[in-house]
This record gives sequence, C-alpha cells and structure tokens, in this order.
Amino acid sequence: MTCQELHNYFDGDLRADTDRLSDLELAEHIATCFPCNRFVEEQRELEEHLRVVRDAAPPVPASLDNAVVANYRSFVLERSCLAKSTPLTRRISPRAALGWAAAVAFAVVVAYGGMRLFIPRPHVWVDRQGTAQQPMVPPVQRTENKETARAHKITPNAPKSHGDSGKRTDNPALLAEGDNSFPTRFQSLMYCDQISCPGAMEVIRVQLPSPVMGLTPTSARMGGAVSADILVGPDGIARGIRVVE
Amino acid sequence: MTDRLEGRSDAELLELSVAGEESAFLLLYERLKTSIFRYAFYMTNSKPAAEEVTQEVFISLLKDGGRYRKARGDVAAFAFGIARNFVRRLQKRERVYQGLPTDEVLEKISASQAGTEGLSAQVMRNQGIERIRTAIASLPDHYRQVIVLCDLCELSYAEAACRLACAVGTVRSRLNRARALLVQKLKQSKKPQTELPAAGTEECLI
Repeated sequence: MTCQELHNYFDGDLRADTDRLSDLELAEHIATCFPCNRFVEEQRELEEHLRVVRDAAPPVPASLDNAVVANYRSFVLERSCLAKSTPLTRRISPRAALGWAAAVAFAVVVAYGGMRLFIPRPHVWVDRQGTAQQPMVPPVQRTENKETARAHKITPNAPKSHGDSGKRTDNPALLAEGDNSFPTRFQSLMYCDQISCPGAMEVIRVQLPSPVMGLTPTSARMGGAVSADILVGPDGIARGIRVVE
Repeated sequence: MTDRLEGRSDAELLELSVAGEESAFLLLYERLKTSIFRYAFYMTNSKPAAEEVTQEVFISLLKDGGRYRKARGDVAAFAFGIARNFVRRLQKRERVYQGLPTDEVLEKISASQAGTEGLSAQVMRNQGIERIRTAIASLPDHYRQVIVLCDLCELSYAEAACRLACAVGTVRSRLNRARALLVQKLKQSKKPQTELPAAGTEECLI
C-alpha cells in the first residue's frame, strides 16, 4: 500500500471509502505513515462536520408549501382565463404562421403543376406539307417557321387572300383593307370585330375529315380528308375557315 | 387519486401538472422539494433566499415545462438546472453575504431547542455549524456545487454529474480539491486569534 493508493481511495465516495479504512492493509499504512495518518484524520473530521451540517438542515417550511400550491392554482387559473380571452390569431405564433403560409404556397404550386400536366389542351390538325397523309388525330404543328409566321400575321379586319397549295398571300393591298368582312372565301365561325378580337390573327392549315365539312371537294384525298385554312385569333379561338381547293 | 399517480414517473407528473392536474403537481412537489430547498439553502446560506429559489423553480417548471426533453435527463436534473440559474441570479443581484450569527441570535436558537444538551454545548454546536456553512459558502462556485450536491444533498457522483452537465471524472476531481480547500478553510477559522496585529505604536511607547 502506497500513499497514492490511499489517496485514490478518497477520490471515490467519501462515505463508502471511510468504511474501508478498517481494512488491515490500509490500517497498517495509516499507522506507519504520518502524512497519511493526518490526511485520514482530516477527512474523518470533515466527514463528521458535513454530517452535522446535513443533520442540521432546516426542514422545508409549511409556509413554502402553501405558497407553492397557491402559485400553482393561480397559474392554472390565469392560463385558463388567458386561453378563453385570447383570440385564435394571437395564439398562433409567428413561426407557426410562416410554416402554414409556406405549406399553403407549396400546395398551390403543386395543384397548378398538376393541372398543367393532366388537363389536356385542345389539339388542332395541321397539315405539315400540305401533301402528307395525316392520322385522324395528329398533334398540333404550325405550318410555318417564326419568320414566315410574322409575315403572315394579319389584323382581324384585314382581308386574307386565299393561297393555293397551302401558301399565304402577302398582298399588302389586301392586308391593309379595313372592312369588317373576313378575308376572301373565309367562312365566319364566330363574330369578330375590332373590339371582340383585337390584334393580329394567324392562318394555319389543317386537315379535316371530309364528312366534318359536309362536302366532298375535289381535293379530298384517299383518307377522305380535306385541307382547310383556319383563321386563329390571338386568344387561340378559330374565327374563320376556308376549304383549300 | 394520489395512489393512481404514485407509479408515474416525474416526467409524466410534470406533463399532468402542466395540463392542470393539481394532485400530480403536489406529488411532484413532494418528490423534489426537499432536495431543491436544501440545495438552495446550502448554496445561498440563507433560508429566505432558499424559499424564494424553491418557489421560483416550481413556477418555472410549470411555465417552461414544455421545454423539458426526456432524452436530456430526468425532471430532477431539469429542476436543479433551473435552481442553479436562480441561485446565480440571486447572488448577482443581492451579493448575499451571511456572516456568523450574533450571540443574541444563537441564544434564541438555543432557547428554542430545549433538549438534553446543555446551553453552552448547543451554542458551541450551532457556532460550529455556522462556521462550516460559512466555509462552504466561501468556496468557489464550481467547488461549492459539488460539495453541496455530493456531500450535503447526498447525490451519487453520476447524479451530480448529470445535474452539473459534466463528466463523472470532473465531479470526482472537483470534489477532491473542494474537500482539501474546505479542510484548509476550517483549519483557518478554527485558529484562535491570539496574535494581535501591530498597531504601529510600539516604538512610541519605548
């Protein structure tokens, strides 16, 4: 037994370790080593002092018990009153409000995306070359590129000359014409004037089954389809139609 | 009602207390009050201050009970943390200093404790207790914490470590140093003041 070993005993729980002082080995060391003897005496004395202080601890006063219980009752009462009087808007914390706002915004975005994805858009039959045979429900395809499309834009009231084999006329005289009638040979599908359909219109060529048109033109092809030019307003609504011969 | 709650843990009692069940609160108070009060008393060395701290701890438990997380420790540790903060705040605010009691006070205490002990023995005993309490109160805060928790509140090292949010080894080493320091302080306070300080008039008398 060394002095360090003896000190290590006291690094543990003092109450437990003082019991071990009765061990023979420890007792022998304490008897022979003066510093350790003094150290142990000091520890015993300290433990005795602490025990006295522990025993002399004042009990919890009854007044404190009453005060704590009264505090508790007032707390419960105050909280219940507060819950009744506080409106819902004040009970929601700013953080919770932000969370809800973010959740609502996310839901709106998801709903909009879903609508865009799953609700089908109206299809128009377009003849790509004017000669190719089209399926019954072909996808939408414009007949011209951007440059030619710009050139072919016409005002709603401007007359549109008929073009053969799917080509558009760029006759300025016809475009500048300002009467209320549709361009030549176009049949009106919908009432159209300056107020109801302002802005430029486009002409697109489509293929339609001939029974839809109610006639059998000479240009009807093998599939029973007939070519037609459609006047489409800026809002995407067809305003006029003419059969291409 | 209380029997139904006896088997409940402190965490469940706290939850019920916050929800407004008074019997749960009373049971929780019974479980914690002695340790909290004693801790506050030893830390402040003042009974009124200990009462104030204990009240504040239980009010805070109710108000901030929702912030308690079971994973971070038991309710007693949570309450001790609150008590420790209140004691610090109180000490900062009031700079509590408790001197040795006057003879008059000691006589009153002695008179109230009618027993087999003689009056002088009781006075001596009370003086001794006050001396030890004062010595403990004069320790640095981190040493005083471990002495109070381990030696006076009789918590195990692991429990004290949990209350102080530190390692068990830290508690052990702090306690070792705290005891050594306390022994020194007690020795100093025991010494009779026989040596009079030099007044600076000795030479004049010669």
